[in-house]
Amino acid sequence: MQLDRLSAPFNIWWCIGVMSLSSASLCAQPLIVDWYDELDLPDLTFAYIDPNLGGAEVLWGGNDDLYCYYDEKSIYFGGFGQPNVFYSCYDGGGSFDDLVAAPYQLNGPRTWVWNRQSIATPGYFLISFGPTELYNIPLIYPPGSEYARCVLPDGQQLYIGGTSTDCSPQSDIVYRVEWPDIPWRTCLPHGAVSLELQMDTLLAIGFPTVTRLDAQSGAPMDSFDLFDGAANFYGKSCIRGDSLYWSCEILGATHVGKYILGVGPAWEQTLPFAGAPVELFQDDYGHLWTAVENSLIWMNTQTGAFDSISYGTRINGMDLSAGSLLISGTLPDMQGFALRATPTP
Amino acid sequence: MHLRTILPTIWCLLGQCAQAQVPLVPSWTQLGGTGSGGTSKVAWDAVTQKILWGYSEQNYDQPLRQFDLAGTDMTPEPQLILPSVDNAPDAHSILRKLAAHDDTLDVINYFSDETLDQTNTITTGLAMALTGGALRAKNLRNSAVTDLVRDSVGSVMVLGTSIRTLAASGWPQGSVTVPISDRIAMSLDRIYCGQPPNFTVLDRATLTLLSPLTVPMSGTPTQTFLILQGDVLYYAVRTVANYLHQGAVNLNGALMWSTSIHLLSGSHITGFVIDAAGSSWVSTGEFGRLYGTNATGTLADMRTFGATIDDIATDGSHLILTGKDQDNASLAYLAVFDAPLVTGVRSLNSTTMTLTPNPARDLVTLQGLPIDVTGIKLIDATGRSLKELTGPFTSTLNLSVTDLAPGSYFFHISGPAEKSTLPFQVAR
Repeated sequence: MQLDRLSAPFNIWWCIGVMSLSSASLCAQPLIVDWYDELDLPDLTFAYIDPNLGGAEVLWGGNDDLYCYYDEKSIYFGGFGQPNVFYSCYDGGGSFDDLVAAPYQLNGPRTWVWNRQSIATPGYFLISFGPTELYNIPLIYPPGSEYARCVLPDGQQLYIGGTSTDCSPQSDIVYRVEWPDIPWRTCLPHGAVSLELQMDTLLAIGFPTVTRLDAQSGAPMDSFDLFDGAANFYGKSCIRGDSLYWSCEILGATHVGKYILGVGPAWEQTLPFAGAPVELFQDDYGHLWTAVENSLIWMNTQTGAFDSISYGTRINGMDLSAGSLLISGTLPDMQGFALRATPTP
Repeated sequence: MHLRTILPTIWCLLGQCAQAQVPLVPSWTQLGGTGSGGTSKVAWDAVTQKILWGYSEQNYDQPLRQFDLAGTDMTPEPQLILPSVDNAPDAHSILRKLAAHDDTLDVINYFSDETLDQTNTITTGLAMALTGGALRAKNLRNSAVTDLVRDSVGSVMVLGTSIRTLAASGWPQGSVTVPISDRIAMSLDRIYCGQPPNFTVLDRATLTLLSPLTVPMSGTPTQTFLILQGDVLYYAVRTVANYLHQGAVNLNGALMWSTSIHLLSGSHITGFVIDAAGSSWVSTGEFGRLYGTNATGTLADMRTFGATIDDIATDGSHLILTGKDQDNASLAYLAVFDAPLVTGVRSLNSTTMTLTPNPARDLVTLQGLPIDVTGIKLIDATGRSLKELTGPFTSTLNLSVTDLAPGSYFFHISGPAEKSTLPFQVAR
């Protein structure tokens, strides 16, 4: 691990040194910005790219509304920058905690939107991209005794990880949803902070402990640790092939690592940032993308070498799908911003 | 000095500049566009050697046309489209600027729609890859983008009273409040904006204010256009009292020249370019007027063309105008003038000089250099002087370009009273 850090290109550290003096990085970013927009919204929380159409949607929850901002990239220029792209797509009250991509084709493209506790009727929602259609999926069982931390869509299935008093003395739980059914629920000895699928195996990632489960039956198979350290309830992951990438905050610093399933840790990098990561994605050019506070960070998946650029006061949401990176965040004047970019080699 | 230059100068000395009526005769023109409410803009792309011509119209998407200097239509299929505002009766779409840098075109298109609940104004800067690829858009809602300048380092955008810098990737960097600015000029390390007498100077990396660049000025500016070429900042200013002030100031603060002329009521500056001879050209909108000032600051040419002149571009030795057609104001024209109009400084005959290969990889050869060449400057796309060669010269000059990054460059060739510019590319 230490060797990886020492062998990181000099310019990476030089860039970071410059950035500490100025918010503007002098390093080239492996992306080209497609568009950038500022909105009169104080806190754009979620950024999401429609996996079906490739359009971008930014959702903002607050004051009992969910706002959607839509860029229909497939319709040349149309959409972004033109009228009627910003609309209130849900006004049912409460605030939303997260949303995840799901190419859901039951009745056309759908986005899973889920909330934990703050909507009057606890549940998980399925919301369409275009017109306002909201489906309440009552999944909390028993009501009020569970706390979901992560959701993983897989076609028309949805895996949910979190905690449940139903699992005492254990506290963590994973279950599979085939709306409106719940085929299995499995209590775990370790946390389920993030979920990934590798073939038919579901990985319940507890930072550091990963529990492997049979995705069909929910039966636990075995477990392993990503790193040495205390359990962390905030982390993100992504997987490609047998490479599992993870990121979480350990002792005040953001760590990112690569774990090769069946082999072991490949590298672990301590980033000079403090905070929980905002998502973790891999592009098609060998970069990992994450964000901490107001910094967008990209890393070499082979070596863990990293670089970053900062903007605004905070990056709140990001998504990478269909070859596009979408970021939402907050500016010093409490406006929100959204930025869509195309990763490059 | 030719008669055609002397006559308008005499007119001007008599205080009749605005009344001069010397129609231009273009080498070729092209008509296009639909509707009567549009605005046309033009840009020259030194990389592709093409003229980019566009016009905006409220209810019609308009193709972006491309021509070479000979007038051959080079518009590719499928065409790039400048979008309109559809289905919005109270909406307006105004094309504010086209500017080409390498193979990318920047477009500032202004939309406003008073019927919208959420937003009243949308100003959009679009960057189009001329060689194909994605259309990219940078949008700033409720902000009036007035200028956008780009180089290899990135771009700088003006939003009236603030400046925003973007990295070469388009990543937003910093912003700073500045005096109201119509146009900006920038070098690799400085940004110039604001209005005379004290032009605002910013450090480009940190956006910190530096000492202003001061020029003589009388009257209150309402429009200020800026061009930075090498170490010289050129400015064209219209005042409340409807005077056109022009000048050139060295970046060390030394004023090179300044001049002033009274404009017809209702005039406003629509275009401002500097040609290869160092002459400045200003167009003033509705009356189809074009003012040429030679490199020593002598107002030497006043011409008219079309019903309006909406914009000017130049490749150095040609003037490229666009505006509303004289005979049919519902059509836009594109007109190219292939001879230097200002004769106070004669242009070297660049047709006798050849530059090969172009694009170059390691070495360029200049052949046919006139015997009286006194100096040759190598200038990059931002106007920065990279090398200065002094004579004596033979008719052939070989120069290594292995130390140059791929991009656009120019040889600025000077004689005792002549100048000429030869563009070339470095590609690897």
